[in-house]
Amino acid sequence: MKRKFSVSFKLTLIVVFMSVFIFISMAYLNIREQTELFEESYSEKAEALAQALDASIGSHTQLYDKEELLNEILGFIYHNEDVLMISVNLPENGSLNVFVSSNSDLSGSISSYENQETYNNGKIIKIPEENDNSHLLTVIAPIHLSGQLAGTYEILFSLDESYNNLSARTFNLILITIFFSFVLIISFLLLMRATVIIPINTLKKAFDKISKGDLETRVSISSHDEFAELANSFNKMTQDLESRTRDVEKLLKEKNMFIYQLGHDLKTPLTPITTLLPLIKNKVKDEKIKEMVDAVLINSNYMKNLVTKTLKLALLNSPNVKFEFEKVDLLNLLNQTLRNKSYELKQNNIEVENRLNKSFFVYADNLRVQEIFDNLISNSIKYIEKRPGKITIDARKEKDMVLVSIKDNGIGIIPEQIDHVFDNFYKADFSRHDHGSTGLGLSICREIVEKHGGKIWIESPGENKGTTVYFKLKLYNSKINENN
Amino acid sequence: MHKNYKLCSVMVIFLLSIIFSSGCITSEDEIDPTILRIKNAGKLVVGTSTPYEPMEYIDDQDNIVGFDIDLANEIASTLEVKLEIVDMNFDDLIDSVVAGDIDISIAAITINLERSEQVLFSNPYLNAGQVVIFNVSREDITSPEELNGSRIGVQNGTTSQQEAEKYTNASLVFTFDDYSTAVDSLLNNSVDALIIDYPAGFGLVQNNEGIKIVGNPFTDELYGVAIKKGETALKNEIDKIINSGVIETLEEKWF
Repeated sequence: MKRKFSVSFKLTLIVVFMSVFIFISMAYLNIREQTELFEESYSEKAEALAQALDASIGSHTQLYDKEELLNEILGFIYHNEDVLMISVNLPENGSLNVFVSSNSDLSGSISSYENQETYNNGKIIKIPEENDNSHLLTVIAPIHLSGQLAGTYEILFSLDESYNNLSARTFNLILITIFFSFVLIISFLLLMRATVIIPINTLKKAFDKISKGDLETRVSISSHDEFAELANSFNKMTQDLESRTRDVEKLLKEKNMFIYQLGHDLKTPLTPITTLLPLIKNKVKDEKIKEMVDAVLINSNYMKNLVTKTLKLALLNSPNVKFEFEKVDLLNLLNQTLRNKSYELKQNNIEVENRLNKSFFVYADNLRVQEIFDNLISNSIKYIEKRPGKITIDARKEKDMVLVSIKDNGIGIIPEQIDHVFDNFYKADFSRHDHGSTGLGLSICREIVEKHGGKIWIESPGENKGTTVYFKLKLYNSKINENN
Repeated sequence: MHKNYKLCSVMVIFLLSIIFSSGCITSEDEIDPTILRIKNAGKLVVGTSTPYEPMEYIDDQDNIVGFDIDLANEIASTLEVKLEIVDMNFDDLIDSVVAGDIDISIAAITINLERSEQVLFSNPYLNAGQVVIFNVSREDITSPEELNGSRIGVQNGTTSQQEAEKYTNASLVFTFDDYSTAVDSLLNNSVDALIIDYPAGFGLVQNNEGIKIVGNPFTDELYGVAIKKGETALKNEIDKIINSGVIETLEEKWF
């Protein structure tokens, strides 16, 4: 299975999203609070400035001297950089008597409503204003003259510098937030890696090794947590598995040895029987005895065949088996096999269609591959009941393998049997007394093909619909095979 | 490897989204007709009146230089136009602004009510108020309030004379017709201090050794940039430049 999203990636995503969420909301709250604090402190400062102006102008002797007033407010503007404009309204008998502004374009009618409010109630009005990229604050404050309300100021403050400071601070805050979220994310990931990912990977590697057959694999995790427990269970399981596998291997070896020994011991006395019986048959004149000898001969041959094949299979199964790998021409081999079988084929009225039109070179043991062909063609002959029978043999290249198919129009196999045909001593029809079949042919074929790194399987559409045996062998590759 | 690659891409997307979301959203301002006119002309015509060192004067290379010229340069470069200086009679400056012959006038013009009625002034950029000048050997006096009983030298008929009489006995105020004799009197201790407006005082201190300015101006005589009435947007631009810290740099350079 291809891994698309690793656990660490998912964990990373979770951690990233969580910390981003936390930090953004924290930064947002922090910035909002700072802004509020700033605005509050700024309006306090503006009020204080207005009062300072009031005190300075209120102490003036000639309040209604416009020249003096102008100089006063200009001085105030000059000494306070944040103050952009000051206007002084001094009404008398309900109408504006004196108006002095640092902005001589103004005529005193602006904000008259607010001025009226302030003049009536003596309260300070603040009007914040925000245009394109500047923050302004207009403060309208009362002028007191010997404790009496005499008029109003209109003071325009620029909050730009303070806002710039604020935004610089905000920017720093964001940078710090980003930095810390990175630190948090990375440290969290490192932690996660140490406590979760590394143990998981260790276990995964161990599982991989086991599945490759290395049963001595043990995992050591010393974290004293669930992973350590898991590792312990794993080790216990592996140990059990190893000892059981050893037992099974030992038993299998013993079984093979036993079969080999038994086969050998059975074969030795059979040889004189099968060689002497035809001689006896020739000497006997009595037809009845001749028939009896014939029956004995057939059974002895069958037994010898059975023993020989069992020995062959046991040999293939033994670890000592050695193959003579070389460059083998499949077409050549097939033709040879068909030549050997031509008498048998003709006798059974079976036609063979060989569709191999070129040579396929495989890297294999010549004799064993010949045995595969021999076994499979024999099988086909055995299970073809229709006359005339037909066997079709084909081969094609598949990547670095060659796929050979041997198709017949025989009795076929029902699906339940397909899974068992490669089992030792399995015969499709037990009731059939079949002297020709030992039930070992396909087992031997599978053993050979698998020892060559190939694959063999059977397909059949159903009873009486024929059978196709497929097997794959590795093609000869001069680069790889010659170096080995 | 693919794991790290994905991790990096997530981080990068996270960073980019923050950068983009915090990126400034600038809106195109509607350009004021006055500023548009100046930009279209490609130059800012500034009226001034030399010589008034160090505010504006003609240097050895026949260039008009000075504090005000630098300020004019600053304004022109902010508006992204060239600067054209027109040197004229001081009395004609205000009329030229009113008539529109020049865009603005920067010429150490003190803001007062009469001028304010004719032109629009920027916020004050320099205080040319009265300062006290001492012999460098005197370290006991630091502000005009401490001048009581001291002999003060002033130029005859100036506002300085009125100011001096506020701080000491009128009989102790000595008047001079020109500053060089006043400086001599200060150097030989015939008077204890001189009261003089800031730019002139600065010029004296530059050209004579042994005297110093003590403290800041103690009266307000504020210079402003004269702008044609109604051109508020230009005033706002200039106010912004005045508030931007340029003035501090120029004060360091010229005073």
